[in-house]
Amino acid sequence: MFLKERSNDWNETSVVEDLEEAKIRISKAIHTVIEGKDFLYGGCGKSYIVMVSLDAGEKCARVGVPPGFPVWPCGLLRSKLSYLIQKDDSNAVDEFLFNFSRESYIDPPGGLSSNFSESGVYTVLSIKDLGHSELGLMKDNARITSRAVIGKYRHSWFLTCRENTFITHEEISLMSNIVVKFFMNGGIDFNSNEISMEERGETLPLAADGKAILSFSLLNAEPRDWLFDWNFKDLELRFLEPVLQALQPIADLKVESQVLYYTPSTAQSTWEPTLKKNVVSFDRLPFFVNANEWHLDTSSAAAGRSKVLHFAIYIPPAAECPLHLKRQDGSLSETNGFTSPGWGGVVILNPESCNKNLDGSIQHLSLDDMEPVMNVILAQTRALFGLVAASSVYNEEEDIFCIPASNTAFSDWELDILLRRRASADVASFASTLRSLSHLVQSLPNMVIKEEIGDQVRSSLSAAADAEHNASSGLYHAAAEAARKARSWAEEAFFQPSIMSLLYLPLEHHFAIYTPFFVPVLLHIVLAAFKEFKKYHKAHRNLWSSSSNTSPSAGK
Amino acid sequence: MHVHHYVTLLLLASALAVAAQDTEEEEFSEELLLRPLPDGNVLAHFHFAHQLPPTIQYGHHHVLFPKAIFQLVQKFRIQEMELSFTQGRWNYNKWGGVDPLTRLHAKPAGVELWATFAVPDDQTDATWGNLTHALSGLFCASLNFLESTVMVAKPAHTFFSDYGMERKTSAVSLDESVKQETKGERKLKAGEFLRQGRVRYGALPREAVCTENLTPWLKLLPCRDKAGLAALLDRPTIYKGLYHSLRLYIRCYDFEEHRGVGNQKGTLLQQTLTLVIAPSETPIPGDVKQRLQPSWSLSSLFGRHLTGRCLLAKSSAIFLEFEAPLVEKLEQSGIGIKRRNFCVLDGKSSSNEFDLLDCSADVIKDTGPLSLSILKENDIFKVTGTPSSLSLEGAASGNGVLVTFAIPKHGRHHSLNVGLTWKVPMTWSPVRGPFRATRFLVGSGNARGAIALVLKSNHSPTGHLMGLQWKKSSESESLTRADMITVTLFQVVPWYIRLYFHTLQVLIDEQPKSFWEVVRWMQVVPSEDRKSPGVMEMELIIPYNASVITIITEFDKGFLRIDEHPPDANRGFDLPSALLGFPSERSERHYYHLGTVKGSGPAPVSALLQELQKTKAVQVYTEVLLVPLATPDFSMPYNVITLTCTVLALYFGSLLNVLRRRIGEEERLASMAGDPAPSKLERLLSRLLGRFGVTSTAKIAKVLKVVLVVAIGATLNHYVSNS
Repeated sequence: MFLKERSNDWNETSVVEDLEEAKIRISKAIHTVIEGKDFLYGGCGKSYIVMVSLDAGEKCARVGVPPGFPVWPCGLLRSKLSYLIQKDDSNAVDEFLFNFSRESYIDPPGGLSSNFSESGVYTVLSIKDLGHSELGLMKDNARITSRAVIGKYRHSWFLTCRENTFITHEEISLMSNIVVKFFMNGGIDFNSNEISMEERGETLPLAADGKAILSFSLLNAEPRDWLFDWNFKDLELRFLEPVLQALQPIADLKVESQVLYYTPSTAQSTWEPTLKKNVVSFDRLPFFVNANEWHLDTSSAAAGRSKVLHFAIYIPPAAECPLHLKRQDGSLSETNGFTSPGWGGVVILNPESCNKNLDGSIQHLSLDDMEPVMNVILAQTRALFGLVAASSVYNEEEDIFCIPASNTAFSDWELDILLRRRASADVASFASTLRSLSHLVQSLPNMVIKEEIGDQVRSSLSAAADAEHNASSGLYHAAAEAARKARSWAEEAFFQPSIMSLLYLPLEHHFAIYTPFFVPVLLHIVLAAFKEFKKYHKAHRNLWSSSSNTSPSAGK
Repeated sequence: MHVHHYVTLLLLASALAVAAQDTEEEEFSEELLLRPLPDGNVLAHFHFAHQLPPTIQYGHHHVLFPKAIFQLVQKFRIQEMELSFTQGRWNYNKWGGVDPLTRLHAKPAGVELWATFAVPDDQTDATWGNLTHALSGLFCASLNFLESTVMVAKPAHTFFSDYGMERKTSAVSLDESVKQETKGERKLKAGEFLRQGRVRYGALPREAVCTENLTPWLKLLPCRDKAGLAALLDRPTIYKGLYHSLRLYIRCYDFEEHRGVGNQKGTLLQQTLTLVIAPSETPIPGDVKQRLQPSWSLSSLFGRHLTGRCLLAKSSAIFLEFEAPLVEKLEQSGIGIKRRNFCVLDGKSSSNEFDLLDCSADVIKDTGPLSLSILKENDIFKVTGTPSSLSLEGAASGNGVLVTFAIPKHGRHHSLNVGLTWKVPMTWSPVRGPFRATRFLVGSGNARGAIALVLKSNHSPTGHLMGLQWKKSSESESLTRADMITVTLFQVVPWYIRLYFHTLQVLIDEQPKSFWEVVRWMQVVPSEDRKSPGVMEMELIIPYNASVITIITEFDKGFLRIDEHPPDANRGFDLPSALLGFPSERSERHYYHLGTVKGSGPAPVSALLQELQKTKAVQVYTEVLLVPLATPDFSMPYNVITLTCTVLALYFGSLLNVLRRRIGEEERLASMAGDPAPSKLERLLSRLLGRFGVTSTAKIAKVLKVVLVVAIGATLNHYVSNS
C-alpha cells in the first residue's frame, strides 16, 4: 500500500517515523475489519503486507518493503498526474497510474518477474488536493475532498486536503475499507448474510481443467409468427472476444452458438392490463427453461468433461409478445433476464413491434439490436463467476466509485480475485476428493490399492503445498496452476479404473461362494456335537441311576 | 450410349456448379418421394439435406446446421460418414433392385457405420473409437460396441469408392475408370482412390432400432417434427411398416487440400428416412391377378396431416413417382404415354447445359399426350392433391414419370393430401437387378460349417422384363468384356467364425470352376482371435447367362470365453450382411422437367433429385446370418463350486466322525447293555417320548443356553468385523 502526499519540511527520520506509525495504524485498521469474519474464497485471509511510501516531489521515502518485492517508484508528483486530477478525468488518471507503475516499477535484483508480482500488489493513493488546500476550509482536520475511485487495474485513489496532520483516522478507515471490501472481496459487503454460493466463490463454473464452454442459443419460440437469426461471428468479435482475452488466465473459455426453432417456454405468462405486458412471475421462473424442447446440450464429443454455461436468448411468440420477467419484489426486471447458478442465463428479447411477420422471411438481428442483450449477458457472466453486478459501480453509502471495465467486463483486480478463488476452490475440491478417497479406502479394507494411486496422491499433495506457498507470496498464476494440478491429480487417483472395479465386488459375494462349503461342514459339526452331548448325558445318567438303585429307571 | 453418358455428366457438372455457387450460406431442404410398389405397398422416402459453406470462410457459427454434427465433423476430421439404422429387410425382388433409391437406401438390418477420416493412418483407430462413442451418445444406440477392432473392418478396395463423388463427377474420370476396368487395372486404381487405411466399416446386425434413435435424429432438423414434412412422422406408423431405414450421411470437404473435380466444398449432411408402408386399406379378396391395388393418401398412410412446409427449408416438395414399368403398362393400357426420346437426346441444345434440365416449350409439345392433366386423373387411377409440375425420369430401363407437389408455407390440408386412388386393377413388375442373392449356412453341429452365397439370375425365360435386362446388359457389355458380368463381394466375418479361405469354391450352374477362371482379384484378411474380424473382398467375372452362382467357404466355429457371450447367447450369433456389387450395372436416373402448372413458378433445384442423378453401381445386401455356437451352461461355475464343496464336506464329515468315535467305550457300553441295542431311530424316538417332563431338562436348557450364547457371540463378532 502506497501513500503519497506532499510535505514541505523534509526531515528524513521524522518522516520515516511517521510512515512507520501510519503503517501500523493501517495494518490495525485492516485487521479490525477482517477479524471475526469467515474467510471468503479469494480473500487474502490474514496474510498481507502493508507498504507505505511518501512522495514529496523531490524526495520520497518508503517503509515496510520486504526484500525481493517491487517498490513503488518516486517522481509521481513531477509527472502530469496533478494535471489529470485537475481535469477530473478518472479514466485518464487510471490509465496514467497503470502506465506509470508499469514503466517504473523498480525490479528488485534477482527478484520476482514483474509480470507476476504485479498481480498481488494493490495501490491506494491519497493525493493532496491542490485545488482545495488553498481554500483552507479546515485547519487541523484533514478532509477527503473527493469520492474514492477504484480503477480498472489495481489502483485506487482519493484526494485530501490537510494542513499539518500526517494521516488522519478518516483516511485510514477509507483505505482499509477499499482494501478489504474491494481488492480482497470484490465489492461484497462483509456483513451481509445474503451471500450466495457464487459470491462466496465456492463454485466457479469451471471444469477441473479450467475449461468451460459458453454456449449461446437463439430461441425462436414460434417461427410461424416471426423468424430471427443473427451473425454470431460478428457478435463474438465485438462483445465476447475481449472478455475471453481478459479471462484467459483464469479460464479457458470457448464459445459456440446455435439457433433453435419451435422452442416455446414452459412458464405460463399472464397479461397485465395495467402494464400492457405479458409477465412471468418470479415463482414461475424455475419452469421457464423447457428441457424437452430446448436442445441446448452441446455435442458430447466437443464438451468432454468441460463445464457448459448456457445463454439462451428467447424470442417469445406473438401471443406473449411484450414478455417481461418479474422480480421477487414484484417489479419488472430491467435486464429482462435471469441466471441460474452453474447452468447459465436466459434473456428475453422482445421484437420491436409485436405484429406478426406473416411472410415468413427471416429477420436479421444486427449488432445494435443485440447490444443491450449482450451487455446483459456479460453482466450475467460476471454474476455466474461470482462478482457483483456491474450496476453497483457507484457505492453511494461509502462514496466509492469503481470505473467499470467497459470492454472486458472484468477489471484486473477482479481477475485477481477470481484467480485466488479458483485456486482456493481447486484446493478445497482437492482436499474433499482426497478425504473421500481415504474414507473409501478405510471402509473397504480388502481393496487392492495400486502403487500409482499412491504416487498420484503424493504428487497431488505436493502440488497443493506449492499452491499454498505461491499464493502466500502473491504468485497467483503459479498458485492457480499448482492448485489445478493438485485437483486433477486427486481426481485421477479417485477415478482410477482399478478402484472402480473393486467398488462393485461386495463382501456378500464371498458368502455365496463359501456357503455351499460351510453349510454341510456345519451340519457334521452340529451332529457330532449332538452325539457327544448325548453320550455324555447317557454316561452321566448311567452314573446317576447306578448310584441310586432304588428308583426304577424311567425307560425300562 | 456414349452420347448419353456424356450428356449426363455435363448435366451433373452443371448442377454441381450451380450448387457450388449457391452455397455461400447455409441451406436446408426437405423432400418426400412417394412411390407405389408393385405389391401394393408404398415407398415413402424422406430426404432432408443440409449444405454448409466451407468453414474457413463461414466460421464456426451456424444458423441451421446442427451444432452437434458440426462439432463431430470438426473434432474427428470426418471426410465422409454414413450411419444407418434399419429394421426389416429390403425386398429386392418386389420393391426393385437397380434404381438409385434402392442403391442408396436399401441397408442391412441393424446398424451400419462407415467413415473416412482426414487423420494420419496411425490415429485412425483411436478416432474411430471416439467417434463410435460420440455417436452412441448422440443416437442412443450401442454403437460403442464398434469401438474395439473386433468387429471393425478396414476395407481396401470396396464399394466405398463409389461414394467418392469426385470420381464420378467428371466425364474424364468415369471414362478412365471404364477403360481401366477393361484393362483389368482397376485394382490398383481403386486402392489409390480409397485413402486406404483411413476407412473403417462396422456393422451391428443385432441392434434393435426404435424411437429412441429417431428422436435424436429429428433433433438435428431445424424444425424437428413440429412443422414441415417431418410432422408426418407418426411413430407407430413408422415402426409397424415393413421396412424402415434411418440414415445419416456426412460429406465434408473442409479437410481436403485440393478440391475434387466439380468444385465441391463445404459440408453436406443428408438425413434420410426410407419407409415401406402397407396402406391400411385392406385389399378386396378375389382373384390375385385382378386384385385392385390399395388406394392411399398421406393422411391415410401416416394418420397425420401436412399443414405446410418447414419455414427454414429452401425447398420443400413431395414427389410422386411412377416407375418405368408402370408407365409402360399405362401406355399399353392406352393412357397414351408414349415412349419417346426425351429432349436431351435430340442433341440440339447441348451447348446450353442449363436448358437440358428445364426442357424448352417445344419439347413439351413434343411429348404430346404425356401431361399433368392426364396423369392427374385417367381411367386407371386418380391422383389427389394439387401437383405443381411434371418431370420425366429417364433411366436405362425406360422412362418413368415424376409428379411434383410444391408445399406452400401455409397450406390447406386438402391440397397437400397427396394420394393415389386406383380404379382398375393394375399389375406391374419392379425393375430387378441382374441377380438376386441369398446367403445361408451349410452343415450341422457345433464344430464346423460352411457359408454359401447363392446368386440367382433374375432374367428367367418368363416375364417381359427380361427383355429390358438383356438390352441393358448388351449395352453395358459393349464397354466391357462380352457376355461377362463383374461381381464384387465384401464380407466381414467375426473372429469366432474362422473361415478357411483355401476352401473357397465357386460353382457356376453347379459346375465347379477353377479359381482364377472366375476370380479376377481377391483380398482376404484372416481373422485374429479376439482382435480383428476376417474380411473377404473379391471380384468375380461370371458369364451373364449363368443362372445360379454359388460361392462356398468352409469355416470352423471358435469357442468364446464365458464373459464374451452376449446376453441370450443361445439365440445364436449374427453375422453381418455381405455386400455384392455389380460395377457394370449403373443405377442412374435423369430428370427432365416437362411442365409446370401456371403460377407455381419454376421447379426448384431438388437436392433429392440431384442425389438420385449420381451414377452409382448396383449393390445388393444379403441377409444377416444367424450362427449357433456351442454355448456353455452359464450356471456351470456355481454347480462346480457346489459339487466340490459337497465332496469336501463329505470328506470332512467322515473324518470328523472317525476322530470322534471311541470304539472301545462303545463296545463296553454295548456289552453293558447286554441285549442287542435297538435301532438308533427307535432309541431316539423312545428317548424323546420318555424324556418328556421326566429328567435333566435343566441340564439340556443349560447346554442350549451355552450354545446359543456362543452362536450369538460368533454372529455378532462376524458382523462387527464386517462393518
